[in-house]
Amino acid sequence: MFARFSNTIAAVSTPRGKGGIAVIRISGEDAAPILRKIFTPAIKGTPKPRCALHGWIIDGAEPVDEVIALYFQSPKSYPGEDVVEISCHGGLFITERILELIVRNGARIANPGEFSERAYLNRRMDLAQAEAVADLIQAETEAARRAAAYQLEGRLSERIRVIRQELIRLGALLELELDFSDEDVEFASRDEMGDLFHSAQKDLKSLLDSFNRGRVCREGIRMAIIGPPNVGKSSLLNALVEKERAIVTDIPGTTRDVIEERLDIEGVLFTIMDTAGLRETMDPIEKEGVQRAEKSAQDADLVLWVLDGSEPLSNEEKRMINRLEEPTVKKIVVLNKMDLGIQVKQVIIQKLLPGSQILRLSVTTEEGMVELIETLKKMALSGALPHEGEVLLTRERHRDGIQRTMTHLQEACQSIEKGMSQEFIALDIRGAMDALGEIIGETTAEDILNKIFSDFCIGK
Amino acid sequence: MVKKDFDVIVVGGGHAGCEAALAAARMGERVLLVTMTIQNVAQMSCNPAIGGPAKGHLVREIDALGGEMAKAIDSTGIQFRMLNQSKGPAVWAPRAQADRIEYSVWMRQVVESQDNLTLLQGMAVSVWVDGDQIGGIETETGRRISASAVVLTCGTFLNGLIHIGMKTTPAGRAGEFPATGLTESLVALGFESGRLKTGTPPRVDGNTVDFSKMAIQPGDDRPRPFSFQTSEINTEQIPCYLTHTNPTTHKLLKSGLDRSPLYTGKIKGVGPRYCPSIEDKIVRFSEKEGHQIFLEPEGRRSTEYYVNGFATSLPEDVQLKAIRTIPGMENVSVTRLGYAIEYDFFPPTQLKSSLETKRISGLFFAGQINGTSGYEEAAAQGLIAGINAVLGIQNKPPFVVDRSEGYIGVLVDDLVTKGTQEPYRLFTSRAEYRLLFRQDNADRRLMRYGHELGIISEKTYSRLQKKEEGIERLMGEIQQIKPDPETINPLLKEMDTDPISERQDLMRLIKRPQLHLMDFQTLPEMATLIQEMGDIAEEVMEQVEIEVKYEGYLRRQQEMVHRFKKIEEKIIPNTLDYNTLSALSTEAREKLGAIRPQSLGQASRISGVSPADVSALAVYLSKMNRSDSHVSER
Ligand SMILES: Nc1nc2c(ncn2[C@@H]2O[C@H](COP(=O)(O)OP(=O)(O)O)[C@@H](O)[C@H]2O)c(=O)[nH]1
Ligand SMILES: [Mg+2]
Repeated sequence: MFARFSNTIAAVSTPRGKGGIAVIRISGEDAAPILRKIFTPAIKGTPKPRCALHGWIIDGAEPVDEVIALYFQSPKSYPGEDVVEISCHGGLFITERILELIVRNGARIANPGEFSERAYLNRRMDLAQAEAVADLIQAETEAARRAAAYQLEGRLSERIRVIRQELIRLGALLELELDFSDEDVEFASRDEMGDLFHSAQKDLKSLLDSFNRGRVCREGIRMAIIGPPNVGKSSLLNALVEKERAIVTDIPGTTRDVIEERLDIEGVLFTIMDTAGLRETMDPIEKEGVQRAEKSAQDADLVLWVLDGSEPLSNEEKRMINRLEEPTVKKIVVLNKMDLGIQVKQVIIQKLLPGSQILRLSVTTEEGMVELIETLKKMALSGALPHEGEVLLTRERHRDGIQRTMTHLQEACQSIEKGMSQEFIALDIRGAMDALGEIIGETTAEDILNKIFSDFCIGK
Repeated sequence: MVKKDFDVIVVGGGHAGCEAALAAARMGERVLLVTMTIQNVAQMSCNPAIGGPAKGHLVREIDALGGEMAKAIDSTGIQFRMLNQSKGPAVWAPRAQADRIEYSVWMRQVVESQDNLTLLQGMAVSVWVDGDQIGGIETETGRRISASAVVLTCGTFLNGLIHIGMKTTPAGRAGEFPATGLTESLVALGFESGRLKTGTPPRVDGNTVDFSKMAIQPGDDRPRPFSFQTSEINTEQIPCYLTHTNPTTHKLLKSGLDRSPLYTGKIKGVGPRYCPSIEDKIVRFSEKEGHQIFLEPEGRRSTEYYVNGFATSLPEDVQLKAIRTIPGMENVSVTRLGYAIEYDFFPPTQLKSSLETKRISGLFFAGQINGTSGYEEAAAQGLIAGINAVLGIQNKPPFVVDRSEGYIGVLVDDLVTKGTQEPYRLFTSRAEYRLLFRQDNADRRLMRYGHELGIISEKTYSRLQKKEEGIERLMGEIQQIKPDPETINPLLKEMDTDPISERQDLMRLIKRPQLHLMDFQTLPEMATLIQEMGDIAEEVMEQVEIEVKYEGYLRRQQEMVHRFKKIEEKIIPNTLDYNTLSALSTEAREKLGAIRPQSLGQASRISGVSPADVSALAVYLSKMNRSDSHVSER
């Protein structure tokens, strides 16, 4: 047998800590032999697949715990190999004790995600699902967890398979007229093909549109704090993450590098970047800092402009804002230091940064902080948390596959408009099918022919 | 070393066997062709027709490589049609009805008059080996004949069993003995065998058919030849006739299902889904009230007609009753019954791309023994096997057409990497680079190989070179020839396309769908060119026009070929132990271990090997290449 798979793994599958019961899972070809060594059934007999057995875990002659054991035979188990599940009494000590016994008898502790990895390698799940397992293990927030969980259930794969089915049907209709042109079959009307085209494109478009939200779920929102020096940017970061992360002084130009902090707001991960104050400077280090700040602003999903509301804007500041204004990026303008009074006029801000939400606050007195946090919460909620069962594109690889599929469909539409015959259109249908197949890890050159043979009366 | 009786022995005188024997003899080796019945050489066991989509392409490719099939059908065809002419040039497909008897006679004459080729009537009952090298064959009379290479092309003869209703008869084809012993001899050597099924319809006496009740199907007005070496076809063409089954026919057919070897489970072999029997059609598509039936003439000097579309293995009484419910056939006299035949095949994943078996060197399989169906598929494999049998003897590397070069490449690669579950037939959709594989450019794609192998004559090849030069020249000229608006606008108007306001070159003009190079033949520059090119002018213009009109699509396909070649060049060492690659799925590991693909590209086409498996394999190969500069042989 193969070196890797002779390796039997074990782990406690329920959350750590005291519970009524805990489940320990053993997977691999030694699962059943190990069980035989450490378990005596209450009623004599050998474990049958999918039948619960009551009995005792024993260490030599010494009874360790009273348990229920379940045996699943390969390939009918989650990882696709022999699996034993032992439901023992909860509690850290007892579970550790049994696990240690299992390891002593020939298993090793499983790595994170290893049961799922095996499930993938044994073809119990497809590529997109396997990626979801990785995401699930790495998920830091509720949104990321949910998006991954839905994908693991196979919902993304399912959506893609449905679209792919439509393309296979379309491909079959095209090929029928090429390879079976003198057969007695009814060829599809151009309208029918057109309908198939449009519904496939619509489905793909909606998946593609979900990418931004999906990415937010997986990766969170990147928020850059931007503004002139000494307006309270670092103070704001510290206030948001509730720790003294960034150095705060009244000396302009204190922050040089970009400082990142992570914050979970309503299940969505915010990566907050405090940056160097924007100003024209000769200091080479500060200059570099300013450039990095500008870059952060460009890469961010959300820009938090911080201005000192107690002083009118200088011309240099106005120039700076003008230069960095990026109409497509979401932004919030914070007029800080309202405890010192408000000098900056709203209209000027609206002109400089059109479409932005404007908040007044004071980091020092905390006035207005609640409103800022509420605003961020709203953004997190409206934009991110997937609702029950929603399918979101979360990975660049998936987005790329779908994008290429769309490009092929557009090319196909152009071929149709130009009046090209079936084989030219088929070129792109096949390209589209391949691109979709890559996402779920399927290549199936025979799909179209199989469809023709099953749906049409071929063969004279 | 003791001198062998022959260099190459070809077993089977069908379409594969004839091509294999001819190619090997023409390459200078001493060849023995053993066949069960000499007068049935190159027999068409099923319908008397050659070509169609992908198959017609295949015939053109066989011809470009120096095979015989195209010339045979050009000489003995009785009706020629170019299919798919309303579509783009890549799917135009020549098809012809053959005179079944003439075809066989013609091919027999070619075989008989070929130097280095000996014909022997007899049955090979076993092959013998010398270690893992082929030794020769033994005939039923006990004669042992030695050879350096053996090509087996046994068609449906291996343990062939004919079914008509509940009655079974061991036979290779109706009225002919089956071949026994050979399968067992191969299995004893470790080969795996399987069983397939195919079927054929009844034939009827044309004198008893009322053709006035059927629709006539004539050939093309201007028949186009299959062979690049045939200049024109002038024979008189014979029409086919079209009629239909009806609910009464279907009711009668259904009444016989309880005695159908197909539906009672008597037939174990797997039949082709694209060529179902009539009983299969009425069961699976029961909502259809009628099915097309073509009456195809068997030959000029025969009154028999082949009832295409009515393949059946139902009992005799059912066949006779049902066929007489078809319009025009009310009083028909059936000359031969339809039947199904089961036969042994050897899953072709046991072969290399040269069609040599992986197990025994010098032993080649071609045709239906590999699980294919169709005369064209068989002939193409025969040609490749015959060529490689000789190259093997001459210690030269094998000749392999790859998937980007032609349908022959697709056919062979599909067989050796994917195997087949049912009788395999080629379709244009099986080709990834279909737009490049046109019937009109098979010579440009493959003839240089035929020439290098010595089976395309200098004369034929120099004509191709002249054509290539012409293409290059014309491609340059049409960018220079810029007719002025006054001269050309009347023509544009006539062709229903927008006039031009300033001079425009011909290349741009013929990109318009309405315009063709021929439309400009009266322009003085064009007229001179055409005259200078002489008899190749028409072909040259056709090539240039296609390349210009479909330039964007052709370029995209070329880019795809480029990518294909890249992964095809990644050779997998024959010694690779897939069990040590833990990142591969269990299924992929098993399949790869069994098939042992020669390149990463081949690996990617094996069913059960996912893109993720392919990337894992690619990563492994590149790591391995970095760690040692080990060179492996393909
Ligand atoms: N009065 C007042 N002072 C503030 C407020 N926020 C920050 N400051 C002060 O402004 C100065 C600059 O703050 P800092 O966070 O370093 O500004 P940065 O350069 O934008 O990062 C510090 O002395 C802070 O204590 C506020 O809301 N009100
Ligand atoms: Mg700062």
